[in-house]
Amino acid sequence: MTPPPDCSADFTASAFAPSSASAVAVAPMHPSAPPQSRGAESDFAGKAAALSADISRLTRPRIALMVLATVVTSGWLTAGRGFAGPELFWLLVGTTLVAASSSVANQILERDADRLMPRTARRPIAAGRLSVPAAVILATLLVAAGGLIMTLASGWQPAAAALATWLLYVVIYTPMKMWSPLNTAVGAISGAMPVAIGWLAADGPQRLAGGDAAGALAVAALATVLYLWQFPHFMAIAWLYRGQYAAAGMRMLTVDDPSGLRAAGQALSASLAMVPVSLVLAVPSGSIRLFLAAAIASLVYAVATVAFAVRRDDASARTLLFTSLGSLLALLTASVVFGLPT
Amino acid sequence: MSSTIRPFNWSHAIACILVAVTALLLCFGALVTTFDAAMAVPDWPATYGHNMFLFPWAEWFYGPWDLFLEHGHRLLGALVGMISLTLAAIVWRSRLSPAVRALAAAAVLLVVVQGVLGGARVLLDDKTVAKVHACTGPLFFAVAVAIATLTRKTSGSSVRSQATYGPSEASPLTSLSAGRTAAGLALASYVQLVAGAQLRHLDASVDPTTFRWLVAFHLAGAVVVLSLAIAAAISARMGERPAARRWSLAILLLVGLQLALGFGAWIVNWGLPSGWLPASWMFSDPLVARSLWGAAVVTGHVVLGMMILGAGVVLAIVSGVLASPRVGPATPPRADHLRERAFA
Repeated sequence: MTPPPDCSADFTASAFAPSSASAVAVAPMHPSAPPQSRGAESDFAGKAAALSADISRLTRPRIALMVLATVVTSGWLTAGRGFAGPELFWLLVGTTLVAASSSVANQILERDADRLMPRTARRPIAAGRLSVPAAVILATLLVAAGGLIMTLASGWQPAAAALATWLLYVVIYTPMKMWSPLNTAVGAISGAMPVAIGWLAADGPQRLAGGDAAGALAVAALATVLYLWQFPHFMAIAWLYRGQYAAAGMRMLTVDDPSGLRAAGQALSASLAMVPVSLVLAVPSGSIRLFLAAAIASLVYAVATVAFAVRRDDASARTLLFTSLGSLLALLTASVVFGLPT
Repeated sequence: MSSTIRPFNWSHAIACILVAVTALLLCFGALVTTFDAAMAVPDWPATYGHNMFLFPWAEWFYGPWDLFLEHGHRLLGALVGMISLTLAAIVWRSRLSPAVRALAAAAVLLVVVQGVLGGARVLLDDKTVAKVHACTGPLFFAVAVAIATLTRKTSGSSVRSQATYGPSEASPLTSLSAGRTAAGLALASYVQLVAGAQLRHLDASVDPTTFRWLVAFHLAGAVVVLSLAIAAAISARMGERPAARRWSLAILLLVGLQLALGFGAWIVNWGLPSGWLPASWMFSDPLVARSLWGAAVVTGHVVLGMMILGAGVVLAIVSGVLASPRVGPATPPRADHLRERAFA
């Protein structure tokens, strides 16, 4: 729900992820304007494409997609095939809306900083194509609609979890980026919180009360994995965009410590701790395939993190960034494919 | 005169103690699995209702073997946790490199995770949790070994860093090649431990195909580890670092012994492959892992795997694999980072 500052790439496990950068290549903001001679039809197509690009930048759908994947995996680990049907569809619709709202709210709060960074200067609010009052109304409508749909589909608890995540991301993490390099540790919490949405929607508390401790353990492991996963991921982004963050006055760890040693240290600690925690995902199913897949995915991530920690250059940061996306995708996919509770 | 006096290297001493106690803890853990003693104490964190530290020592020491193993494993685990916290406190108060600080933080995180997993293994009585627990121990051990290696002082330096463990000037490529091969060896050793944990904690309900794949994976991993050990030994032999040569040779010997123990563990667990040998050579009495020799072979195979992992980590570090290839950071560093420019 709460996206990091750029729409294109910071796939931080949730829109609530702590990152504020988009790391992978950003699509051109405005598609090339059609030549005047093409007439009204092509002009309309150009405007539609520009509007589509603006909506994408504003709501960051790829980040929302990662949030949805997290919610689905969490619910799947909790309830297996019982986590399906129309309720799931509407839960995901509501989650998407809340995620989009958090992205809009984030861009409202960071519009001044966004103007100072080439990576974000073309965002609709920063560039002035969307007024702040209109953006506030949009963010409010999105979060209200999302919360309402979630409540109707799955009850008030998942909606409350989504709202709590929205608040943590928008009210605490976003401003914190300007005054403390600890923002990643706080933002990573909001990145892991969509797990709670899936768990609550899949009747996790009732199952736990009924004795399904293994399911609760796996979900707790998923949340911890997502929390730890974000440190190397975000440190790679913070390294790649350290110059822009510094220009915007954001207190990223790579800005406070330009050598990158502290960022490397945090990334390394988190990636090592993530290895055993990711293995816990296999507990409810007892699946050997999931166990081995989790081990390989987390080890590959740890190796990429060690390489970044040692080299601390753009190439290793970029490799780490792509490895982070691949390893998370592999973990979530393996959890869904092999992790059906027995 | 005062410059010749070197302060006691507390961080290295405690890191070495941590490595030693962890090795003992891993031995206990391996024995707990071998003798299926994990549920000898059915409650956690208490031991039969007692505070773990206040459980009557005579009852533990002279009690049943499986109680001795499981409760001893818990006590050692608690001790490792306390040593880890002490080490982290010392490292964070010192001016050691960020690599050491990061590893100390990782050690604390891992020991906490491991403690929780140990408790969950008992409370849930779950074999998969036991597997995760078995895979976390070696990872923690590798981290402890890395800290001990990186905190080792040389005369006149605060901590070994790029000057000591960086690429060798005489033959940087060979040195780094040995280091990278050793890093690969450590990684392969760890994957072997993960695969081995699957076989050690095998559920009776596992289908034969999965079992065959696991065994094949483990055997293929053994070939990979052996190849990497030979490659690391050759690279180190061509390099200029005596320490790397010594460690690579030690690893080669350990891997050779490990292959023998692996064969022994196969026989102990599953017997000799029928049809491969004359019937007169086959054992008349079945061997079981819980016999003294059987237990020693199986447990030794696990423990030796962890030692190979640790030795691989040491070889990688002494070969300079953790040293930054850059002379300095991309942007001017703060003064406190000038002390330790390399990551390690």
